Parts: sequence; structure tokens; C-alpha cells
Amino acid sequence: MAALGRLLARAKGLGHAVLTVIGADGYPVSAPAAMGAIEGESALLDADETLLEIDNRERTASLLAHRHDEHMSGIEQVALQGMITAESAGLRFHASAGQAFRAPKSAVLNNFLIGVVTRLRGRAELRRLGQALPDLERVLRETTRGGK
Amino acid sequence: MPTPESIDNLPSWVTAAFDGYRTAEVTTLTPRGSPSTFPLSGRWDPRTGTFLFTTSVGFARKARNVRRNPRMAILWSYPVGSDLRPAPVVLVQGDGKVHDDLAANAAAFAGMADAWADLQPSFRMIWSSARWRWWCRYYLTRIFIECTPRRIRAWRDGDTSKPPFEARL
Repeated sequence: MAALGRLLARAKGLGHAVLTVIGADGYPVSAPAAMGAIEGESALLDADETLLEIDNRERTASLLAHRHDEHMSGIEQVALQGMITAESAGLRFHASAGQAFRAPKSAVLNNFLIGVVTRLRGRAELRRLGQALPDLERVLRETTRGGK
Repeated sequence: MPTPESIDNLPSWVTAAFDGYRTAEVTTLTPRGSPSTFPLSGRWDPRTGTFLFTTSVGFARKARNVRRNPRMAILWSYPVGSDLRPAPVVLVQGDGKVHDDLAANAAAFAGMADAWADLQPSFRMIWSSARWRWWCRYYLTRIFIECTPRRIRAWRDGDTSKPPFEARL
């Protein structure tokens, strides 16, 4: 699917990527990864194969690329799931699913959208948890703060 | 291979990464057992020796993952916002616990939100205005994920091909 190839290209453009696999002990293990050539829905990666316990098996993996500045502005991220295989040239990540997010430059628009998206998703989670939305303003009054 | 240190005895350059990096790459396990990694802001509590992350009730998938399978990893590898040079890379593997008493979390979050606002101007806009707090009330309703580390590996100059500093619980 061309969309996954575009996501991989977008991830490469972000400059900082992390590859994660499941270690022999069942815990995830992550390492910084340098992204190389992209072919279709796969990308060549350079990451520490010893740390990642890479062997000849094809293994499930995630690839995250992200960036932001020191004030947490300009947030952009691409999160991909797929499989990793070892090749003579390095590691090859075969993407099977992914999503991307880029925060709007306008803080007002960004915060407006945060409010919309979290309300839509949060209502469903509250139902799952069987809880009501806490009264934050009351909490702030009780903690004597009241917002800055 | 040197004997792993105790997690209670981490060198200052490791904890400086916990304190200085704005985000860590946090991995949880999906229902199918695959890793899922997202950047999150969190904090290290040296008193408890645990890491605390919060996520909006609107972005709760990672919390559901931890409830189902507590195994998680946290990588500090993106030094933007810190002046650490060389920039360390730190990998924490541990067990997560989800705190989802939303009323209790609201009080705890109120106590930490000012520090967050100091780091992130767009969050300050939300936190400092009653109207924005109302509009983003679901965003401000937080689920906490607390990770107890089992194993920490750290590379002072960020080169993971070198032998790491290692600590175990």
C-alpha cells in the first residue's frame, strides 16, 4: 500500500527513530535506529542488533519517529507496526500498519482539536471504566490553586 | 561483564536524562503481543524508584495495554530540551501499573500541572484559563501509568554498541 511507504518516508524525514522488538524475556526492548532506503512498504534500518537480540527469525516490531522543540512545540510523530528481518545490509522493517500526527502550528487550533478529539474518545473510555468525569474546577478550589 | 548495580544507586548522568529530556519513547504490548511505541512526557520519582506517565482518558489505549500485560519499556534517546552533552541513551524495562481512579488522579495531576505548564507553553494556555480547562476537560482527565523498573541499561555517550552501565532491581 502506497500509504505505508509515504508514512515511512515521513518517518525518515523526522530524523529521530526508535525500533522496538520483544526480547527473549518477554519485555519490549528499544534502540535508536537510523533509517535508510525505503522500498515499497519497507525500510532499511541501522540499529544495534545485539541490544535488540536480532537473530534469523522474522519478528514483530514497532518503529516510532518523532520530533518536537524544547518547548514541546512542533510535535510530529509517525508510529508504525510491522515485522523486522535481518539482511546483510542491515535490518529491514516491513510496515503493516501505521499512523501519523502533526500538531497544528497554531496553539489555539491545536488546543481546540485536543478538546474535540479527547472528548469523543474520552466518553467511551469513561463508559469502559464506569466512572464520571471529575470536577476539575472543584479539585482546583480544594487544592487552593484555581489555575494560574 | 561487570556486575549490575542496584537501581537505588543510579549515576547522576542517568537521572539527568530522566529529569532533562522532555519525552521518552514508551512501549506497551498490544492484545496481539506486538510492541506499540509512543512518545510520552513522564517523571522519575527517586523516592519510590518508579516512573510516572500520564495519558488523557481520550488516549487510553496504552493504559489498556498495560492493564492486560504490564511489561513495558521506556527509552530516553531524544535529548531535545536538555543541555546534556554527550547525550545519554537510557533503556528501562519494567512492569507498569495503571492508576485509573480519575477523581484521585485529578487531585494529583493538579499538583503537577504547573510544572508541565512551565515546560510547554501550549499546555499553559489550557491550564491557565477556566474556559480552556472546560473545553479540554477530557484531555485534563488523566490516567496514570506507574512503571517499576526491573532492568536499566544506559550509555553515557549514546553509543549503544558499547557496554552499558547496567542496574537491576
